[in-house]
Amino acid sequence: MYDPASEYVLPLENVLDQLEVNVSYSRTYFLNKLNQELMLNKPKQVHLIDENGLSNEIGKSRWFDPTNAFLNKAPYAYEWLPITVDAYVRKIIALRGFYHKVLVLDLDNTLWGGVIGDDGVEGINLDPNHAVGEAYLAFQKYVLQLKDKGVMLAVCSKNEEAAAREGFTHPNMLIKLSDIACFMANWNDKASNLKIIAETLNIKTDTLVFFDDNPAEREIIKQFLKEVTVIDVPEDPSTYVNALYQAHTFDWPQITREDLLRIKAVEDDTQREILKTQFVDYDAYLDSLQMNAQAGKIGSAQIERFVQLTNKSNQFNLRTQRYTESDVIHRMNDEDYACIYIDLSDRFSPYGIIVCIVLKKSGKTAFIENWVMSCRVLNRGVETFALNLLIEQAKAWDCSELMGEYIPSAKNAMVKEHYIKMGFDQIQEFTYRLDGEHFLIHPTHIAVKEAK
Amino acid sequence: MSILEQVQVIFRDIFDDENLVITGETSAKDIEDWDSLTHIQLVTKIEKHFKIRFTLSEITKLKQVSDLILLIQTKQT
Repeated sequence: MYDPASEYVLPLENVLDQLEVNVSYSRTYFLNKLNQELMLNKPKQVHLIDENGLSNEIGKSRWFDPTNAFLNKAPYAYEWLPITVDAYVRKIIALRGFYHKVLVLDLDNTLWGGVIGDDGVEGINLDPNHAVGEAYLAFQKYVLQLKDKGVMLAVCSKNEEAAAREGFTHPNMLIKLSDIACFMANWNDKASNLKIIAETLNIKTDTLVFFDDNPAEREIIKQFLKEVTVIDVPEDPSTYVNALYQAHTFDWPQITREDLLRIKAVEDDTQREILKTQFVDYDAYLDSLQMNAQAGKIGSAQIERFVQLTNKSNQFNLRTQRYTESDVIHRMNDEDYACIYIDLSDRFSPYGIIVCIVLKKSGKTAFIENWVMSCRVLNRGVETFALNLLIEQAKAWDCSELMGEYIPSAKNAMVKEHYIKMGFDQIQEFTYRLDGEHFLIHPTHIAVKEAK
Repeated sequence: MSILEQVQVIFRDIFDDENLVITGETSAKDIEDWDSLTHIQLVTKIEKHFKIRFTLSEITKLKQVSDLILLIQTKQT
């Protein structure tokens, strides 16, 4: 299980007063040190909740309530229970695999001051020597930091597309067009545009966070796309960063290499699309992508991502089995299990680990306990490459059959026919079998790269 | 609305009972759900509603609703 735990909250009153931060024998020094050591030495499955940070956010003189502490043995005022519970709930939800992935931004009076269609690129305010311009630039800087940690950026603006794009040519713009994974500038309603953004990026609309200075647009999204998280954007651009932070929508429990790679891979999709149009023959296109993969049984370096992908995949997920880190470690060390991963790259970008499979040996049968794949690499022949790995493992175990099962969930209809496509025989409604006679290694467009 | 009536609104909300009627003599014995947790909720909500703060000893001395009403009256003047 995951164990959310709080770090130590530094108290309000300190007997040494200002001396606390000047000497290493103070309690402040000791508690800070203790929190640092907790962070460095905790088991991986323990996730710390920054209650000390919350107390700072509120202010310690408001955070603590001595009467309440003596009367009810409560560590802080009840008023702050909701925001604390919220932090724990966010952590639990995120660890179960749900988190927001995309920040959808408006342009006029959101990324810059003024209206590009009226004011032109010279007229919009991004002046670093003007307080208002500075505020927009600070917001852009914060947005770019979110992008650096793996949040995808999208634009949804009511503008002529050409005018909207022109805004990005302003010499002071920090966010570049190349930072935007999906750019929507037109006069259609924003609810429809958000749906298109989600489709384009191959994600669900409930992973979108909408940031728009116009309350009318926010209201439309709240009404027509209830699953989208809408930030209550304040009037004053100087508080944009604050509003976005305090919504805590991108409170991710971990950042994996794949989170960082995803951004580049999505940006490179445009180039892949261009490449695709140059080929009539899809196989020739796949070859031209020059895909290569490192694959096999996971080691300790792959555990974190294996857990992450397994738990957050909903669409390409055959049995929707969820695993904790200790479940995976247990299977990794058990000879009757194989936790198989595929780490894919192509000529444009590395994807990281995009396939996770748990195979279980029971007697002469190799059972596919779980099979997930990131939807970003659909239609690349990765499934066949994965099947080859399963067949190799089944042979190594001296098994005479591969068994697969499809458990329908609310979201995994896309893999309903998966095992049929892979050449398995359907033996029951949701059960499929590949006989050992058909353990053939199929050609793919993916080259094998040796593990480092 | 009298203080008692205002307090009754708060009681009804916390005990989730629209027909709850309280008097000066009402105490924790009379309401089944009145435990330590709902007591905390009551105090917190009353403090917030009347914009007052009770001291530690004031809270520990409360025996029945009439004590509470009296205390609110004193605090408000």
